[in-house]
Amino acid sequence: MSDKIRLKDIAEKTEVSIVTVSNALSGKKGVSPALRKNIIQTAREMGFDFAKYMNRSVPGKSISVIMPAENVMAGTSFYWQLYQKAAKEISKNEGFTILELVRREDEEGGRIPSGILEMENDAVLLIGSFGKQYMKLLREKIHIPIVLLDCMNNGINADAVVSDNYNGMYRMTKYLMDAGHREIGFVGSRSLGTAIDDRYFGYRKAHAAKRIGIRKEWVLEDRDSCNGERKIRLPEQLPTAFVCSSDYSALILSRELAKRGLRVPEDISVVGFDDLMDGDPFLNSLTTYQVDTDRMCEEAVRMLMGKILHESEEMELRHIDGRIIERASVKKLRK
Amino acid sequence: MSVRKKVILKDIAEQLDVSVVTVSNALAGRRGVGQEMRKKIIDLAGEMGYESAYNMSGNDRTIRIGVFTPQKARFELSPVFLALGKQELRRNRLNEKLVFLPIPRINRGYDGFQDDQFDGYIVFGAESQALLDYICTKARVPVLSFGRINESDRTDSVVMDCFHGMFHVISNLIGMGHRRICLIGATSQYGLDQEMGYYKAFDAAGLVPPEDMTYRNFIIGNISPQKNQEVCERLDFLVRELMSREIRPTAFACGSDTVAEETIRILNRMNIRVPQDVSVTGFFKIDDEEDPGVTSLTWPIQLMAKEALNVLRRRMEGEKDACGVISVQGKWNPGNSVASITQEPESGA
Repeated sequence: MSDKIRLKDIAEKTEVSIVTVSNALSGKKGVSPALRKNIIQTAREMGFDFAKYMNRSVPGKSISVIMPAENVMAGTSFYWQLYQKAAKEISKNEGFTILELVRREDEEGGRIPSGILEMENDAVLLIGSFGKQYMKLLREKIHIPIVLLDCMNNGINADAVVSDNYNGMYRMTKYLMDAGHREIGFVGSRSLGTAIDDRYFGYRKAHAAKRIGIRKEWVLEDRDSCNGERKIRLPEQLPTAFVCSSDYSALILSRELAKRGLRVPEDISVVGFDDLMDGDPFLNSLTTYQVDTDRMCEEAVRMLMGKILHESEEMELRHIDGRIIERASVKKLRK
Repeated sequence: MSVRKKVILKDIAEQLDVSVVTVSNALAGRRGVGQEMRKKIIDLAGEMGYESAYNMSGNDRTIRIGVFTPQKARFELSPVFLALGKQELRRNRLNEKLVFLPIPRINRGYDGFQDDQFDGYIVFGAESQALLDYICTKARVPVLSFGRINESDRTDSVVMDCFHGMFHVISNLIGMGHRRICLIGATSQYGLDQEMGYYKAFDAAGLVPPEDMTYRNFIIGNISPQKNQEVCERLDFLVRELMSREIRPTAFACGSDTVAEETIRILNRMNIRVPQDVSVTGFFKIDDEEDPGVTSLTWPIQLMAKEALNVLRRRMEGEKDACGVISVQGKWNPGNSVASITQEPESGA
């Protein structure tokens, strides 16, 4: 008798049929992610020889998705939306997805979800971003391709897909200028990361192109520097319009403006960025830049598959452009 | 009953007095052909009506893409793009039906749009938004802008990311100890994006950028010799002025390789050595150039050609949604014109 581990052995131990084990290991459909995970884990523990069994050319790539747990728990639909679209795109490519949430205490303790290290994954998709330290740790410990979705790959060896913050905000600012506005403020905390900072520079480019100076008092933080709470402090004298680094900032701004008795767009124009939220009458009438999450996910999965098949070893960074969604928060000024 | 004789590689080779292999390499986008010669060969092949074998195979209707190269094309890359585009089409056998027809020297006033002779257009390095708008309104087929962002909504562009590119260059210079970095940016959008990248890099490093050290609108190459001369003189004046200041730059970040090379020449004339005394960086290097030369960014032209064709094909197949701006990233190419500097004892530590 050979002591080679067969599918039957794994089937017996996990109390499922041989067919299920085969499906699970080869990445075929019809096995729930939890069961698949369990089967793969058991197979590994038993010393099953994956290399021989798993035919790499067969569709059925296993992609681990890592997300900061708070992104999901806080109920922000954006990351769920990204996850759902990415998972759908992966299944379109006949792969399957395993979701791993990383809680803040895991990040602080430098713990990586065991599933990612132990399982036979083909690649990792990271949605959202972690601190620098943790990103570094992930890159060190994970020896398969990593693709970042909605996070820049600064200093980490991974492909990345982000929205085109710079060109997007340039276009939003130019949109206001085309409507006759010359006094335009910016709302957003640049220190929050390169995405917001890029948006700020898009705003700045539009001004440089028209040779209009930027007034520092009109570049507003949207968070309290002490506790990180969303808060906007309006200056005494206001511009005729604001570009906001997110729709949420625009919403908070509109409330601050209302406190001064100012209406959007009659008294002051406001545009947002993202187009990801709804459920508030203000947001339903907000002119904004729609981030193209479909194409972001498409592109991320294309990168994943390319890296799995070793099509290219070069690391790519992709900015995905979105489009302006015109609603009713901008007033045309006469020149 | 005169049947037009089919043009073969040999005909082109004879006219230019080069070997058939060189012609073949030039048209296929392979290495080993100088840029000037490549351009000559491609132009002549176009004039003579050369159609390569792979385009002749198959009897499907040929899809034709017109490639605009505006008169003042300072975009040295167009012949390279054409060559790479053809290579790309051959690699991806699905696209065999595409044929490139370079249209040199077309500017506003072109009225070939009525003929419907093309299924799509690529506009190379458009000089202005107005030109793009003109082409987009007149053409009844998809238009893709290459090298310049088309700012009208719902249009497609494939461009080099000059903003993050210059951010990268300046960040590297800062990392090598440079603080007094002078920016000599390119023209129009390129120059603006480079300037924004410059400021972003200083902000990101928590440093205040030096005063009076950002300049724009320097571009040398492919425009009239007279204009080149003017730019060179302007550059000479600026570099001398900067180097005679009490606080002199330790590095020049240039918006193009040609400007970087000219800056080095000027510095050398002043007996200033690069990189021992002053560092200089360029910006646009094509990725199949092997010579290390000036420290610069290398751009994946092959990828750009591929993206441009993909996007245009999608649109020609009836895709309504635009891709918007597709920006590719440059890669740091160390070269030999940058040196680290040891921090001057500013704080006495």
